[in-house]
Amino acid sequence: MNKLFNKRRSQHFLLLLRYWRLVFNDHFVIALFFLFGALAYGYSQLLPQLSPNQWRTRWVLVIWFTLIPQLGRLATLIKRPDPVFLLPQVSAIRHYLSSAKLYSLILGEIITVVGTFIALPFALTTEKLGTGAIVAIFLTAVVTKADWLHLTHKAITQRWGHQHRRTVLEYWANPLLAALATWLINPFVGLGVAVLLYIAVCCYYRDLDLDWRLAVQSEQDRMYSVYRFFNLFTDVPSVQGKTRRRHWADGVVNWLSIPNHPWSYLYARAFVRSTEVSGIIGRLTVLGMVIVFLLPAGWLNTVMVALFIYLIATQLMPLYDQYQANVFTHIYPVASGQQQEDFKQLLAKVTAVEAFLVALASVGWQLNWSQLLLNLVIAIIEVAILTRFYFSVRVKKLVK
Amino acid sequence: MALEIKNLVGGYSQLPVLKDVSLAVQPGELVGLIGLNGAGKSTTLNHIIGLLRPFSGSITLNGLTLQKNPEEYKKQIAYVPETPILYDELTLREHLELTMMAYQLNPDETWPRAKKLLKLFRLDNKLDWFPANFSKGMKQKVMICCAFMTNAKLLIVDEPFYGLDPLAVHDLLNLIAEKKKAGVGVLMSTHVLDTAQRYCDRFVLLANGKVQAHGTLDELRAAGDYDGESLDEIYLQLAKGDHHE
Repeated sequence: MNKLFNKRRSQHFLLLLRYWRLVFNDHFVIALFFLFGALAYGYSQLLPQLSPNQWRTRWVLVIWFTLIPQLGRLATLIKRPDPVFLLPQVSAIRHYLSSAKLYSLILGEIITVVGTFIALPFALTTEKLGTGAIVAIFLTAVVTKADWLHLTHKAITQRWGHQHRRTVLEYWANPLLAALATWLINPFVGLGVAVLLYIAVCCYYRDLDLDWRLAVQSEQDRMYSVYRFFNLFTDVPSVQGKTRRRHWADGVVNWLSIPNHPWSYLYARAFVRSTEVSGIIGRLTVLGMVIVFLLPAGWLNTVMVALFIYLIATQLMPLYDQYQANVFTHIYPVASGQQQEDFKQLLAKVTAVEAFLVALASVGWQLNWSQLLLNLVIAIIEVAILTRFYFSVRVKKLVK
Repeated sequence: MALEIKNLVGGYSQLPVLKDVSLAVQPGELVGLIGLNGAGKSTTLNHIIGLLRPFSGSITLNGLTLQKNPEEYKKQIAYVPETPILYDELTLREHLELTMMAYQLNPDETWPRAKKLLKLFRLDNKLDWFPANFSKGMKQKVMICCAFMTNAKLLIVDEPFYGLDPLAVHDLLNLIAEKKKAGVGVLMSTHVLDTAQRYCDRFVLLANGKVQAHGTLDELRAAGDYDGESLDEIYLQLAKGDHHE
């Protein structure tokens, strides 16, 4: 069974590697680097403005350290047919799961340590921390993550798996208690609380016989969120999203579709009703609006507006070849260039609206009208370039 | 002459699946395309609807070819695929509307025809459903409605009986008979040989990418010394002979 896990782990790595390669091939990732760069820059600008020993900054730290352990789930790599094929392997599956847990623990701890490092400059500016305290903070985070992973393990067992609410409560309560003790009392007490909680969890949840149904379900959920992430950059076959009728949006559908153009008819409905496409465009628009609204006026604000318009346009483009695998795409008696023309129309309309919204939000809480005007002009030029020229370049890449 | 295929060599990649296939479908005629799994039935149909490009040979439809008049050629064909293929984001009503738009049909003239088909297949109260809510058989019926409401001169039907209930099979055969009366040629691939024997006017027996035999049932019997045997028996003999080669 150890062999089985190792084999699956390497398959899993290969799969992830393949997707990562696609991710790094994309222009989108350059935009993301910019986004992260801007966030890091904002963070470094924020630090000198903080004053030490404020209760507000302590709560920020408490929230941060409660959130970190929630990242990095238990990767069992269990597959759907396993309950049928591995059913007799009752004792061997324990070994399998302990390998899986070790693997997840290593990954989870890496995330935890990175998360703690990110928070450290913030904590050092606002609190007085010695070397011992810093070590205690790191240890607390590491122990809390181990505690959290033990909880995810017991959540897929026959004995404890059905206490769903209790498990969710523990996911949040245990890290919260440790973080409260760390930042409101002191880091050493925090470490004590974390260790005590971990021991308690390990002693109390000992009967860990696997519930196959829950295990398959939770692994599928986990893989689905991994795929959803990759789906931001490339097409993942298993992420399809759902279809919602959305009667209220019929006006939008009508506005988007050109009468008697079959492709336009199809794309308009696909855009509005597929939760995957409209969901990501909606989220990006709202996120972009919030960020440019909060950012102070200046070049960074304009760069962000341009960046979000680009992100929205590129996230919409894969819709173009969504129907390549459908036979009727090829046998409808429609002129071959019409598909591209109709999609361009949709792309232009949607991107223009979203660009307008983002540019509008860039007026900011300081109501900087000249910034708004500049961003609007840039947005109009960018939308024109993206839909006229950039899309044609992308299409050649999409349709091979 | 509705459809004429001459010396077609074709397939998916470099390796030809079809080796020198010739067949014809006359207006008002139902031709059964018969063959084992992998004999080349679907490949032949894919060439006709234009998904695949012939290596050599020609496919003409009332004098038109896909290369020279793609739109006019495609407008004459309606296709019912083996597995139903629907758009997840469109309701049943919108599938019909999209088909009308694609084939440039006048909605006022076409809707009554569509309504009749929907009623026949008991789909008339499901116009606002999404494909996700349909069963396999219902999806197949949607495909049939879309194809049969067009004015296409040639119907390409790939294994239409799978997943249909007996009543729907019966109705489909009646629809095909109606289309035939209106002068439409129908090319149908199938494994259901006794149904084929009763309804098809002519047969094309494919094996290993070649036309093994073709003609009416009597012609097949005469050609191979299968006196009085059913299509089923003739086909088994041919297939076995093919196996032993």
